[in-house]
Amino acid sequence: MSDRKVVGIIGLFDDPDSLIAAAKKVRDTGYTKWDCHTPYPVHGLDDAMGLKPTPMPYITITAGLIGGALAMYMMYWMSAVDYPVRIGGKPYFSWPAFVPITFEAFVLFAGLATMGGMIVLTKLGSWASPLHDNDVMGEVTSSRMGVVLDADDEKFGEDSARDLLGEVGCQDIRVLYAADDEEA
Amino acid sequence: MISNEVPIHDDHVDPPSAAAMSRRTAMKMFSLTAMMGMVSGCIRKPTRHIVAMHDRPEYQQPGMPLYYASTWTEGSHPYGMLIKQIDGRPIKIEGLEGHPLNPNGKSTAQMQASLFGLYDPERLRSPQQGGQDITWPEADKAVADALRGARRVLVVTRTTLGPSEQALLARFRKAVPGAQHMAYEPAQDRDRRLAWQQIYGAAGEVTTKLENAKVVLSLDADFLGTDGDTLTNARGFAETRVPGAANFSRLYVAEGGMTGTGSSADHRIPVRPSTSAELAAGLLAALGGSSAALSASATKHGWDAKVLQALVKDLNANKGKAAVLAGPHLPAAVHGAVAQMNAMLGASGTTLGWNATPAAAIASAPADLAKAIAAGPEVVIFLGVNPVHDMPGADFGKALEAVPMVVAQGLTADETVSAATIALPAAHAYESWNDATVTDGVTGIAQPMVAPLFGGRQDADSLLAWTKALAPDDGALKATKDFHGFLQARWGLAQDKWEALLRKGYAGTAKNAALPAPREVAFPAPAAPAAGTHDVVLALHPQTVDGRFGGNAWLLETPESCNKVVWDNVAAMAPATARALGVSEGDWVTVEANGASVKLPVVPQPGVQKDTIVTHVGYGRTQGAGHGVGVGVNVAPLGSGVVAGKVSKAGGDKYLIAKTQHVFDQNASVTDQPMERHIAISGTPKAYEAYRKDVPDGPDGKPLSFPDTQKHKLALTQIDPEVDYSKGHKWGLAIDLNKCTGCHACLLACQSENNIVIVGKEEVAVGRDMSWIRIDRYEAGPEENPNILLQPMLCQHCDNAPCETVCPVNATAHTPEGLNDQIYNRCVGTRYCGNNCPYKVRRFNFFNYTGEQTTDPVQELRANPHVTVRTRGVMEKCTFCVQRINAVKFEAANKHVDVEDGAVVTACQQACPSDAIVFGDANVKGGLIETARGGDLAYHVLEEINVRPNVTYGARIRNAHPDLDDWKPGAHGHGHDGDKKGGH
Amino acid sequence: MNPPPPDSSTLEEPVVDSSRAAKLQADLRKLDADIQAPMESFPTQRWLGAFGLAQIGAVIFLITFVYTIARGIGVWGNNNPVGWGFAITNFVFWIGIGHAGTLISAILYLLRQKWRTPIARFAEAMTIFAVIVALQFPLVHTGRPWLAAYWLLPLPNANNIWVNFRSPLLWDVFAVSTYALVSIMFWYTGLIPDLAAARDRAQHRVRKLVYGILSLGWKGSNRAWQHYEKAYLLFAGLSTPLVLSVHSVVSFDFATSVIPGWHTTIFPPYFVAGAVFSGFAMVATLIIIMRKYFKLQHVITLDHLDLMNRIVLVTSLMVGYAYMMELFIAWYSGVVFERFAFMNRAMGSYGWAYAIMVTCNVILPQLLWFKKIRRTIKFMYPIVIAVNIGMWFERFVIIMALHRDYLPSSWHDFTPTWVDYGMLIGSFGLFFTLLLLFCRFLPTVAIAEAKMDAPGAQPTGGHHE
Repeated sequence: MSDRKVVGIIGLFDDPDSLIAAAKKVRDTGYTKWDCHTPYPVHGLDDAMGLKPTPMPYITITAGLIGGALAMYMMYWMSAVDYPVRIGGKPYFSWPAFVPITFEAFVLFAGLATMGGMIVLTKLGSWASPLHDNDVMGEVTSSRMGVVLDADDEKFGEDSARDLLGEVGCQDIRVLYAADDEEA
Repeated sequence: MISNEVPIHDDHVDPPSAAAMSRRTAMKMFSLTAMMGMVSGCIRKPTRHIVAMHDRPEYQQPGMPLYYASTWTEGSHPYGMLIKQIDGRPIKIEGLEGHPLNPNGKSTAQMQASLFGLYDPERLRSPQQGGQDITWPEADKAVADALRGARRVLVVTRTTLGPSEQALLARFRKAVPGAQHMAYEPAQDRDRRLAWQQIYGAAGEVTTKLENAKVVLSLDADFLGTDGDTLTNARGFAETRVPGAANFSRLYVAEGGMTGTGSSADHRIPVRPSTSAELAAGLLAALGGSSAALSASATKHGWDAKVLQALVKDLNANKGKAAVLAGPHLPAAVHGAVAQMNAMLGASGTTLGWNATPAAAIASAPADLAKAIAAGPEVVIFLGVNPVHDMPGADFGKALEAVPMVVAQGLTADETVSAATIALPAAHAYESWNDATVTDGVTGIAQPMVAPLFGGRQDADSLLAWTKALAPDDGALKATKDFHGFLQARWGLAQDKWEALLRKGYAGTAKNAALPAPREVAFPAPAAPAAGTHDVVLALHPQTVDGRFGGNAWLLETPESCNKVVWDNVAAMAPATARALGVSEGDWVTVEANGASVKLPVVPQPGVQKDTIVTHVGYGRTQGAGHGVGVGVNVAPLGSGVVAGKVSKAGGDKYLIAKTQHVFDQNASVTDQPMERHIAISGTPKAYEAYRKDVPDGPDGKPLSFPDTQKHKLALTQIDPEVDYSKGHKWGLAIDLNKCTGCHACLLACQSENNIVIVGKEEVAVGRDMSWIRIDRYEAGPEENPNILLQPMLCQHCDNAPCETVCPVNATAHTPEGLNDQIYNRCVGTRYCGNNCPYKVRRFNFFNYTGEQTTDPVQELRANPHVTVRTRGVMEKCTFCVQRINAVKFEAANKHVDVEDGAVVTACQQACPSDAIVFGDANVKGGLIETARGGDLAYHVLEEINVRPNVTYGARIRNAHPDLDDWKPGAHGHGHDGDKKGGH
Repeated sequence: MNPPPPDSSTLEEPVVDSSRAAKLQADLRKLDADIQAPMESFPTQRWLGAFGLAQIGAVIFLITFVYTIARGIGVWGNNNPVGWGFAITNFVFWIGIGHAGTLISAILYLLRQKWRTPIARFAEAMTIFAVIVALQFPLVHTGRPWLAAYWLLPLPNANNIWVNFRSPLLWDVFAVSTYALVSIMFWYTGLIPDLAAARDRAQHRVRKLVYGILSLGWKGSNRAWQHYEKAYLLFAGLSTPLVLSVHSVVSFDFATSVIPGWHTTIFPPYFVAGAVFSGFAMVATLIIIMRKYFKLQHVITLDHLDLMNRIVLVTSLMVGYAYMMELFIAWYSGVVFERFAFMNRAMGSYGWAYAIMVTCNVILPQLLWFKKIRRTIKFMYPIVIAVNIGMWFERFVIIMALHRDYLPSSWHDFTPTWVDYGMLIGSFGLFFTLLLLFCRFLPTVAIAEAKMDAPGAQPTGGHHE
């Protein structure tokens, strides 16, 4: 089987502390193309991996403000510009009555943007992964935690990676091979 | 002048016989079969065919109305009519301005509703013999053969035959020697007419000039509702209902039941009809100066002595300005005494007059008719009467079986027509030529508006045909083709004069004779009522009258003025009486009188005298009444007028009574502490005077109107900037509660003008009646004799309309002219507007109520083409007759003139016999509306919620006699005299 | 190339307690197994029975729904004064039910209430289904639904006229649809990692495929978890004001009108409190059955139920306060119409409904002051059921203000027809159909969150740099 292309190495841990330690180690070693896979969010892992803060909040608030503004403008244009109708002795642009819909539009746009942004940033929609091909996905989505070192990283070497994971006391280190159909 | 191009739909309902199959009729036949195919194919709308009006009648322009003068021949008094006709179909009835009887162009509820009868799909479509359709020639031959050689022939007609009809009848009787004529009417004021005949020495009728009366006493006379020349009465009465004016009149009513007139009374005394003779005699004596008898009987019968004293005082103080009227069903002795009273009061010539030639002949006694039938005539001819159903007392149908040949002509296959050997379809009054004696010196002319829709033929034409057949040598008749010819020949006018007459609608001028001096006639004093009996009043129904409109669904669904019951005649009795009998609303009572007994559902009615039961005649139709079949109970077996009856509780399940109003106390509450709502506001003269002495200022610094002093006036602040309506028109309406008599003419005018559908008893019972205007009735004070306030309620077209704000689709919005529009084709039917309407005047189409009207080729002819017909799921309401507003505006625009104030007349306003409704442009300085709103009685209903209604109400001043006016200074906020218990 | 020599300064030896790790692994696997058991086992007789029952209800709903649209609103008891009847009552009732879900998943999440975890997923699902059911009523209650469906949205149409943005009904359209959408997204976001877990446990290819697609290829990568957690937090942040706004807007339908008994400023808070009240009662009602039936007593413990009962008690006091305050203000306003409206509410034609409302919503919940009752299923269950009933009647009582408003002349009572009852019963059928399908095919407890809070699931310390 050794003729198959190595795409990375995964070290599996049974407890969060070891994972954190490993992450720090890998981070400090200067790996860039690597990741951790956990069945649930592990506190502190982001720092341990040295990840930049997520831009999600900005996406949400921007979309929300746009939505609110659009709604208020739509209502102004429809009720006071395009086809003004005299209703209940109120002014054409009776803005206090327009506040609820403005707010709802804010939330709607913000919500849609949050969903969209999340899908894009978390690269959802791509199903392929070496973890599937090497049957370790089941473990990291149910109970265990893995540190994956990507073969594309310039620091990557099959042995050096093994050693690195070994140093942080990882008992279960596996080489990730490319899917069979990738054979030449 | 008549359009023979009646819309082609009657081809569908009346296919021409194959015998006369021309190319055109053939086409129609195909179209008919085509339509049938469609119908079986479940297409909701029938196929339409374009028929070119190649021989268009003169003046006829598609979609443009034509107005024809005519005369109302379906009632006891021949009012002038102006009939609106569009594309050859009469679609609206109005009063004829300048006519001697209704010069102000007003009309009755029945006139408004009569169009339903014209387009009634129930109408008989062809002559029939033994149930088989036959042709007119066959029918005429059969009748003529029967008449030939008949020794005894009986012709029974309405009492209101026109002079020409009478002349023709004379010719007929000449041709048929054995012919005897009888005028029949189930519930005419016959006894009173006979009494008058004895008193005044001639067969005439007493007329009123109530505009000259300051004090009016009515003894059981519903002169504003069902009794006599109601339009004239209402007009005269209304003229004197201006509070503060010198001629502000005072109406006393002593009645057994509760009538529209009683509801308008200033002082009302419940009096058992059979004791009214005693009351009349007592009053007569009291006017003469000896009031002992009166006070004696007052204590005996529990009449309010204080009111009677005030009454006598009032009458004496107003000699020459007073009138006493007595109901038709009261004993002759009462009419005798009343005549004497009127003489003492100098009523003759001032408040009362005399019409020597009433339109209606005195009907023959039912007994005589029965005798004539018993005498065994070979042929009996009924023309436009239905004795089999409504003959009081005996079972007339049974008696008729003995007659070998019965000929009956009627609009529908009613009980009599169905019982006839030969049944003939009559033409409706609006399909007929006729004339009528309007009053002394005036003759009205009635012209057809449309060719007979169902191949019917008017009664007179039948008579003519038979006369011609029997007297072929009558040279004059030989020439006359039809009754039209006969009529015109009899009038003998040159063509131009004739047409001028038709345009005018009547000829001659009224004599307005004074009331002759009454003779002393010793009428038998009526026996005192037997113990254990009640007076059962078999009254005319305010809508369906004597039953002649028993098949008219519009009138059947119009509430009885006082208890608001629709689709039924009930036993109305005092709540106390109901309790004594152990019955409540919907329970049954058995009424026994004259050996007959009927079961009636009970409706407790405050104000009815405790020994009196009121029910209405003409109900319980079994045939030919369409929607009216099976509605109510036929009380004819009990007799007519007032009968002494035994009333007892009957078993049976509760009966569903459908009412358009359930709560009659505007201060209603769920605790015993009343809630003062100030919706219909009234006051008494003293309170009004006190107010006028120093008019208080409101919170906004402006002087308060009288009604505003009755409630807690708020200073209202408008948050939003004011909408500017100062340019152009700003429509507004004003209703004077002092004038409204609750006759419901407005309601039916609205129904006819705006294509309002009927929904049937069950739907009304659920609370889904569709009328755009309703007469709210509020009773205050003791249930034995409450004070009544009537308040017409319609869309208020609020400036800050709450209905508009809540509609999610902008289906109701405001026009620059201040109208609250309802856009039917935009409405999705959330009913939110209806919920949010404080006046609850919006009406929702819960089902496709209009289905029949839009798919039945006959009924759809009735619809006003200028008003959208609403479909299911759509909200509708009063539009201030926007189609009329636009018509006037367009006309003015074409003439390049301004619309002047008052030019727009809404349907309700146009009909209102007492001129209680005013419509106009609020922007006109000193105009109708500004004047109405500026009046010191003006107020708006619920103005405290700042919806800014555009309907102004004039508070009612109940003209209590000074001695009885119990208003106290400082009794602030007590507008409803009812709040102060007693109230009379 | 060779790896650099290990730098002892950066390297800190992890304290690996193998027994602790083993226990964690066992716990996590057990959670997976327990929570996903219902999804993997074949439906039992009891489930099928319940589902059949729900189906009958759903069919009744369908029949009455179609019948109403075919014949017209006339088949209901509504009339001219009472334009709204059961339909809007049901609408407000179901929307109210919907609120607990978002409240639990959003507000309690923001408040870091760990105990919410086991019930959140279920409550959210309940929210969505309740909102779906609720949405049926505004549509069918219109006179011409085939037009309403389109004309209620600000879209171009043949009339060339736009919608009326001043109408609370239109606010409803926006509020409720936004609420439905955001709730569904929030819910789905939470589902993604669990679907991934389900995918990887699945044996059958079809299950693997379906869950695989639904999980959008979730890999549990921490680079994803980072954004994911923030997104979830943001959804919680958005849903919190949203859930408060939705029932406020629903209350505007009444509060902004001029009808006495409706025109009340207390309605927005009162409706929100009522919604939470009814929502929690409904969650408790359902979850008590579910935890027993799916043997999740150790996941959804008595403590959780206790806490929920406390919220029910608190919100019951809130609505109780609102009832009192309505009466007081009506009296204090001195407006005769207001006074009458509330006297009539308590003593008029529908006084009996008012009595049911007060009993179920204010009096009975007071029993929850007692710990024993809060923690005993057979005591608490009747109470939460009563609250559900009481809250339906609250909405009914409010809407019945229409039968006697300003002009006594037009007062008229409302009498429901069989169609009205059919729709009420049927709506429950529809709701339970959806809910039972959910229990069958999706994890009823948020697995990832449960794992996250499992003992020892988080680092012991030293990671807060």
